[in-house]
Amino acid sequence: MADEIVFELLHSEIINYALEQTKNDKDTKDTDLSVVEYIGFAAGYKIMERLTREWPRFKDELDTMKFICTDFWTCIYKKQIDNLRTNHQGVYVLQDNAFRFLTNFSNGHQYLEFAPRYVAYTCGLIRGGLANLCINSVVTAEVQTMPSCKFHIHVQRS
Amino acid sequence: MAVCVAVIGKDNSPLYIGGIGTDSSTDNELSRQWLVHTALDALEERLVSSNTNAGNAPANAARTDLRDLYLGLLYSTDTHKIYGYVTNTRIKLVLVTSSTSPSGSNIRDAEVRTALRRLHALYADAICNPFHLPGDQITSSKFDKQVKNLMLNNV
Amino acid sequence: MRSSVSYILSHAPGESVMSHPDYTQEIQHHACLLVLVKGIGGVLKNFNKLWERIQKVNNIKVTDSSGQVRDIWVRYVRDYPVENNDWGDFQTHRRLLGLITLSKFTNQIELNEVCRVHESLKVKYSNTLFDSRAFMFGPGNNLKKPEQEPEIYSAFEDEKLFKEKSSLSDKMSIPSEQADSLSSSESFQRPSSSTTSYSLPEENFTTPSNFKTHAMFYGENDPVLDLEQHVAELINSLFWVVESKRLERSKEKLEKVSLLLAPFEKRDFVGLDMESRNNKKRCMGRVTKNLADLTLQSGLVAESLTQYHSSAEILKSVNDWLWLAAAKEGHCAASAILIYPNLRNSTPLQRNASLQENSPLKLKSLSLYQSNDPFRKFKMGSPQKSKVSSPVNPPSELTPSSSESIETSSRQSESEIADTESLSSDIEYQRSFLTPDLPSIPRQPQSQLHNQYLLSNEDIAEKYRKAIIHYSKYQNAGIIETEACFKAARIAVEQNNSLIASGFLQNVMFINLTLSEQEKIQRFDTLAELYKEIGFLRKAAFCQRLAATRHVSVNNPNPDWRRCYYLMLHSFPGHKLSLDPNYVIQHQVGWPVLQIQLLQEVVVAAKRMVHPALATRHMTFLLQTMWPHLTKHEQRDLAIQLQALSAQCEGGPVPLVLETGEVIPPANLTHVPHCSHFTPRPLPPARTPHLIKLKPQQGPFIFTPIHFGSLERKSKKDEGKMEYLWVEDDICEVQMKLTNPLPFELKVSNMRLLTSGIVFESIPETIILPPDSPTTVNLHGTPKEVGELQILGYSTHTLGVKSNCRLKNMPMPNKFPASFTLEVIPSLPTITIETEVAVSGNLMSNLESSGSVTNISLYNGESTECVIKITNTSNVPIEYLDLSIQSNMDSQLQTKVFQWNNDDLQSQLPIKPNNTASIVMNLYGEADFLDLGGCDNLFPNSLTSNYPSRVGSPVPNAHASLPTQSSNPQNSLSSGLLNRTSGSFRSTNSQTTSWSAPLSVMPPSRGRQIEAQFLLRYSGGGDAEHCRQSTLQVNLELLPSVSITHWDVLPAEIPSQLYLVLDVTNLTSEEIDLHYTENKHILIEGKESCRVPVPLDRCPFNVTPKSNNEDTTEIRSISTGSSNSLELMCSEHITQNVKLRWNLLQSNISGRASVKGITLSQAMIYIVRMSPLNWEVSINKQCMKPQEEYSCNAGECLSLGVSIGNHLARPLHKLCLSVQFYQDYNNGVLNYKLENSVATAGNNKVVLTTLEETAKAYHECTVVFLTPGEFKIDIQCSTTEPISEDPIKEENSSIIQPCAGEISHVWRFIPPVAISVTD
Repeated sequence: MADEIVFELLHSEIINYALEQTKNDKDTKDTDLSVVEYIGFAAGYKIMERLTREWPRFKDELDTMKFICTDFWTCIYKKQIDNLRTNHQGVYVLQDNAFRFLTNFSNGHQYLEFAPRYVAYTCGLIRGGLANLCINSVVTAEVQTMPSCKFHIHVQRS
Repeated sequence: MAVCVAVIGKDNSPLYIGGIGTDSSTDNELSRQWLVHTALDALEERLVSSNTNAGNAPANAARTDLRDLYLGLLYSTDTHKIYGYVTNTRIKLVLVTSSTSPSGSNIRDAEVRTALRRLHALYADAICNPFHLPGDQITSSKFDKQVKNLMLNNV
Repeated sequence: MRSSVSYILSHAPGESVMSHPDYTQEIQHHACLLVLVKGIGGVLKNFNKLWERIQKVNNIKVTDSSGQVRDIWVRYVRDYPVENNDWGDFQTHRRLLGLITLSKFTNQIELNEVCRVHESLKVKYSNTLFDSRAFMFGPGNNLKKPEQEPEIYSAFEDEKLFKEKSSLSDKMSIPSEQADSLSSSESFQRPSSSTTSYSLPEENFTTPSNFKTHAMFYGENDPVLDLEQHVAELINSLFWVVESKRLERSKEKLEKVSLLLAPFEKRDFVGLDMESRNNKKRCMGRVTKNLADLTLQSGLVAESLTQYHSSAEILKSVNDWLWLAAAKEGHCAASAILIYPNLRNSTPLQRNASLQENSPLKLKSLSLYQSNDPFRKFKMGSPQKSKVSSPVNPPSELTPSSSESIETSSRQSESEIADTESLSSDIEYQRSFLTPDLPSIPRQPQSQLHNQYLLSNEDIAEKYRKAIIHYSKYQNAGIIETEACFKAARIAVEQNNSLIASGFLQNVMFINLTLSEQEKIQRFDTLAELYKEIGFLRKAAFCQRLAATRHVSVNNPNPDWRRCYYLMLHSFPGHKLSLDPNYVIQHQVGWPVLQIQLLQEVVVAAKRMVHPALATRHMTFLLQTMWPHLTKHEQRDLAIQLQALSAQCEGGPVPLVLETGEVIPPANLTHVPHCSHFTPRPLPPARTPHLIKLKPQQGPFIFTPIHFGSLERKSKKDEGKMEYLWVEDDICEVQMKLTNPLPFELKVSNMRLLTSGIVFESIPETIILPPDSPTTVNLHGTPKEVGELQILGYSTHTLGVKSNCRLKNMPMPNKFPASFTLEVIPSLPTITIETEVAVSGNLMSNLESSGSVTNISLYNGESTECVIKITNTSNVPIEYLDLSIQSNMDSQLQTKVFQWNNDDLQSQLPIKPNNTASIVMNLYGEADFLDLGGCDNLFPNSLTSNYPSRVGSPVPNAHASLPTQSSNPQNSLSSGLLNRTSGSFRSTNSQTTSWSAPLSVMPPSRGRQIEAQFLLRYSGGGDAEHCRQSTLQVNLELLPSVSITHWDVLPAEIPSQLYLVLDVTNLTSEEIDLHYTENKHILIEGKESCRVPVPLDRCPFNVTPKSNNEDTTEIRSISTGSSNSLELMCSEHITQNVKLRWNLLQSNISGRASVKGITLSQAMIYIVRMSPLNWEVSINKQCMKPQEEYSCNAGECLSLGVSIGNHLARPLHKLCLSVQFYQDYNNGVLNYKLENSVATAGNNKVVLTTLEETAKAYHECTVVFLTPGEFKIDIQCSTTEPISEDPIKEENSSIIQPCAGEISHVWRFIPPVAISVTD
C-alpha cells in the first residue's frame, strides 16, 4: 500500500501548501481552496479521456454517473461509491462511506471542521471528469460524520 | 494505409491534422482539411441520432452499434474513404484512406477500427502532457511521430 | 450504394442518352401531368404574375365516366428538353402533355410570328403533346377574337385509340403528318411578309390559316380573369387523354403487347425473338409498369400500388433491372404520395417554410386558397363561357362537368380541411423536428391506407435504395439514377432521416455522367440545397464551393464570376463564418485554414466580378478576423494585397448592399495598427479646472488632490468614468499607444476620435508607424457642448481602408472599457501673464507663460514694484480672479515683502476677452540689518568683541558719562551679561525658528533667495464652481546692502536726548551714501564700515501701551518676547525714530534700513529712557542747567537745593538721596577725600521713606568750599527696593541678583554739577 499512501500524502501536502498561499495574501479572509479544486478539475478532465477509452458510449447522464461511481471511483480510490441517488432532475448524490482522504485521520467528529479541505480536490476531480464528458455541473461535498462523505452533483442544463 | 488522420475537438475545432499523402490531390494540407471538415456533418448527425433515442426505427436499429465509439465509414469520395470515431469525451477522430493507393483500396473495417483505437490511446496520452491545454492544438512532436508511423505501419 | 456488378454495357453511350437531368424533380411528380408554359414573342411584362397564377392551378378534381372523383395534379415547367421526352415510355410522367404559351404581339407581323413559334413548339413535342393553349396579348384593350380553324392533334398512332378519343372528347381529326404542319409553318410566312397594313391597333387581327390552336386574346393590361378557367379546361382535356390511354393499356391483351423500351435500349433488343418466354414476361412487366404510371397520373393512386407491385414481381423474375428499378421507384412514389399528402399540397417553397416552423394558420389559408381558388374562378368564368367556345368539350358536356366540379369543390374543401388538419399536426411534427425525439409521422386516416402494398417509411427508403442500386448497373441510366437519388433524398428529408438522405445524396457523387458544366453546377447546387435541408451545412458548403469553382473552371466556356461569388458567399455558414467580423472574432469556431482559403477565394471572385469595393471589404474582413491564425509572412502578404485592392476602391466603414439585398457589414482593422493603450488625458495644469471652493493654501503641490482622488476612486468606480473634467471649446487629448505589426512602415492617416454624447470636434492626425515599435500617439479634439462625452474609440485610415475601431470590439488581450465617459464643463477663460519689474530704474519685463520664472534681485531695504499684466486670451470674460502667494517665508515676512491691493484688482473685473488687467505688486527687501556674530572677520577694527554693544566713546566726557563703571562694576557687568543673554536668546531663536522663517534671522551680510509663487485663480463664463489657476514663479534675491554691526547709546548734552552710535557697514561693493538723519549723511566706501551717531529723543517714560502693542507682538515674532518689556519699549522707540536711508551712488539704488530688533543693555536702557525722577538742582536758589558750570569764590557759602519729583505711576520707597563732592583730575582719578577743602552744613544724605507719585521732595544743604579748585557734585538717589514694572523685570533681575548688591537701583543727576572755586 506504500504506493497508495504516496498519493494521499501528496494530496494532503498540496492542501497545506494551498492554505499557506491563501494565508499569505490578506484579502481572502476565509481559506480559499479554489486552487485545490482547480487542480482536481484539471486532473479529472485529463484522466477521463483514459478511463473511458474502453468504455462503450454512454447512453445518458445516469449511465455516465454510474461510470463515475464505479470505474472512475475505483481507479482513484480503489473502491466504489457506496450509494448513488438521483432525482432525475439533474441532481445526483454520491455517498462514500469510507472516503479515502478522511479514513486516515478521523472517524467521528474530530477535525470535522477541517474536513472540507480534504474533499475539495475530489469535487474538482468529479467536475473535471464530467466536464470532459460534456456535462457541466457544480459539485459540493457534505461530511457529517467522518469518514463518510456525500458528493452532490448539480448538473447545469444550458 | 491512412493518408490523413485528424483529431477534432468537442467544438469541432481541429486539434490535429496529420497526413502522409502521396498522391498530389491529398498531400496538401488544404484538401485534407476539406475532406475531414465535410465529414463532420455525418459525424455529428450520427452522434445526435445515437444520443437522442430517436423515434424512428432505423435510428433505433443504428443505436446499438452507435454505442460503439467507432462509427465506421462516414462517407467516401471516388478517391477517398473517411472513417469516424468519437470518444466518450466527444473528441472526434477521423481517418482518411485513399481508395486509389493499393494499400488503402482494399482495407478491412477491422484494421481501421484498431487503427483508430490506437489513435485514441495516443491521444489520451497526448493530453496528459502537462504542456498541452485541453482544447488547444496538439503540438507535441512525439504525438505527431507516433501518429505518422501509425498511418504507415498499418499497411 | 453502388451495385457490385459492373455496368451492364448496352452499347456505346451517347446518342439518345437523356442528358438533361431535372434536379428539381420530386417524388410526387410521378403522379403529375407535365405542362410546358412558355412565353413567346415580345416580353410580357406581367408574365411572372400569370405564371404564378397558372402554377396555382396544380390540382383539379374531375369526375370520371364512372362517377368517381379523380384528383389530378399538374406540374408546370418553363422549359423541357425534348430528349427527356423520349423517356416517356419508361416513366410516363416524363412526357410533356400540355403546352401553354403566353405571347405578346403589337401588330400582325408579330402575331404571325407568335403563331408560328407556338405551332413549331407543338411540332417539337409532337410525340407526346395532347393539347395546348395560347394566350395572346395584343395592343389596346378590346380585341375581338379573330376567327380560326379548330385545333389539330398529332401523336396518335392507331385507329382504335382515335375512335375512343372521339367518343370521349369531340373534334378529333386525323393526325396530320409533321410534314404538312411543317409546310403550314412555311405557308404562313407569306402573309406575315405582306401584312404591313395591319399595323393599326384597333384593326382586327387574323391568325394565320394554319394556326390551329385554341387561342385566347386579351389586351396587354387586361386582368385575365378566366386564365385559371382556361388552364383548368386544358388540364381537364389532358386528363381525359391520359385516362383514355390508361383504359386502352388496361384493355390490352398482355400476350401481344409490344416491348416498351428505354431510349438507349433500342438497339439491345434488335434480333431478339420477342416470343421467348422470358421476353414475353419482360414485355408484360414493362407494360404493367407503364400502366401503373398512367394509373398513378390519372389519380388512381391506390390502384397503382398494386400494379407497381405486380410489375415489380414480373420484372424481378426476368432480371430486368432497369425497369424493375423504375417499378420500385413508382411504388415508392405512390406510397409516398399517400403517406405524405403535404408533399403535393405544398409547393417545395412552402415545405421549406413549414420546415422553418411556419404558423399553421398561414399554411392553412395557403392550402385553402390553393384548393378553392381555381374553382371560384371557374364559377365566375362560367357565365361568359358561352362566348369562348372550347374545342375540347362542347358546352353541352362542359356545363355539367363544371357544375360537377363546383359541387365537388365543396366536398373537396372539406377534405381540404381534413388535410389542413393533418397539415397543422404536421406542423407540430415539423416544429418538434427541432427537438431531438421525433413523433411518428402523421399519416392519412387509416381508412385510406388499408392497401397491403402500401410501403412504410422504412420500406420506401429501402426500396429506393434497391432501385438506385439497380439503376446504377446501367451507365446510360445515370440521369435517371441521379434524379432518383434526389427524389429519395427529398423523401428522406420528409421523413426527417438525415443519415439516409445524406446516403442518397452521397451516391449522387458517384454517378459519373457526361454533363455540361452548367448541369454539373446545378447538380452541386441541388446537393447543397438538400444538404442544407438536412442540416449538413459543411457538406452543403463543400458542394457550393465545388459549384463555385465549376463556375469559373478553365473548361467552363463562359465563366461566371458573379455566381461563383454568391455561391462562395452563401457557403459562409457552412464554414462557421458570419459576415459580421465581430461575431466571427467573438466566436472563434470553424477551421481557420479553410476559412482563410475561402475568404481568399471570395476576394478573388469579388475582384473578378469587378466589384472592387467588395474585394476590399472581404480582404479587410480576412485580415481582421483571421489575424491570429495568420503567420507573420501571410499577414504581410495579405496587407500588401489589401493595399493593392483598396487602391482601386477604398474601403470604408459602411455596410455594402448586394443586388441580392444581402448586407455586408463593415470590417474594421483593429489589428493594424495594434492599439495597446488608450486613455483620455486630463487638461494640462495651466488649463485644468479646479473647484473654486478649494483653499489656495495647499502647499506647493497644487494638483495633488485631483490626482489622488482619481487614483483612489479608480478602484471602486468603473474605469470608464474619468475623474477629471474637460472644458468646452478647449483642446482635449487622448493618448494611445500604437504598434505596427507589419514588417514595413505603415502610414495611418486621418486618425480621429469616435465619440457619442455631446458634440465633439476631433482633429485628424496622421502618423507613420515604424515596424514593431510601440509609438505613442495623441489624438486631440474640442468638445463643443457641455455635458457627458463618451469616447467610443478611434478611426483610422490605413492600407487604404477606413476603419472605426471601437473599444468594445478591440481584440481580447488588452481590456478596454466599452467607452470612456468624461464630463465637460462650460468653457473657462485662459490668460497669459506678463510681469514688468522696475529694477534699478529700468524696466525688466518678460512675457509670462505659466510656469516660467521671474527673477528679481533687491538690496536689503530696497523696495520696488512689479506689475503683473493679466491678458484674457480666451473669448470668455474673466469674472473671478484671486491672487495668492505661496513662498518659503513665514506669512509675517511674506506680507512685508509682497504687498498688493486686492480691491484694486477686483475693481478691474470682469476682464473682457483680449483685455488686460494689471496688478501692482510692491516688493520690499525686508531684512534685519543688525548683524551679530560671525562678523568679527568683517571688522578687524572691532573694539570690544566680547560684548559687541560696547563701544569706546568717541565723544568727550565719555568717561564722565559712565560713572557706574567705576562706582559699581556689577552694573556694567550685569549689562554685559544681559547683552550676552539676550544675544544668546537671539541666536537660539535663529535656530529654533529656522524652520518657520529661516530668512528672518539670516545675517544681513549674506544674500537670500526667496522663492514665491503667485497663484492666480480665475474663472468666468457660465461655470460658477470651477476656475483655472496659473502660477507665476518669482525668485526674489535679496542682496546685502548695509548692516549694523555694533551700537551703543551715549547721553546727549541735554538730558532729553541721547546719541545712538551705530557701526554701519557697507556690504555692497559700491560707495554708499548713508542718510542717518534728515540733514546728516555720510559716504561709506564699499565693504567699509563707519560709525555714525544718531541723535534721538530719549524714550519717554510711560509709552502709551497701545502704541507699542503691535510692535511688541511683532518683535516677539522676530525675537521671542522674552526680553523685558522695558527693553522692548526702548528698542521699539529707537526703531521708530531711527530712519536710515542709503543710496548706492553708482547704480542709484536707494533703500532704507532699520535697527529693528536692537537690543539694549541695562545701562543703555537708563540712558535711553528718561529717568523716573526728575531733578531740579539749584544753587543759591538759582536753577542749574545741564552742562552749566557754576563759579564762586572760596569760602563762599552756597546753598545747594535738590528736589526730586517722582514721574512713576507709583510711589517710590526707601529713597536715599545723597550729595557727594569730589574732584575729577581728568586722568581717571577721582578724589573724594575733601574733608579739608569742603565743608557742608546740613546732612548730605537723606532717606525718604516714601515718595508719592508725582510728589516732590526737597532737600537743601549748605556747602562752603575752602580751597579753590574744580569741584563736582555727584547727586544721586538710590533705592533698595527693586523697581518692579513688569514680571519680566523680576526674572531679569534674578539674573542680575548675585552681582547686584543691596543697592538695587541708582539714579544720578547727569551730568554732575561742576563748580569752579576761585580765590
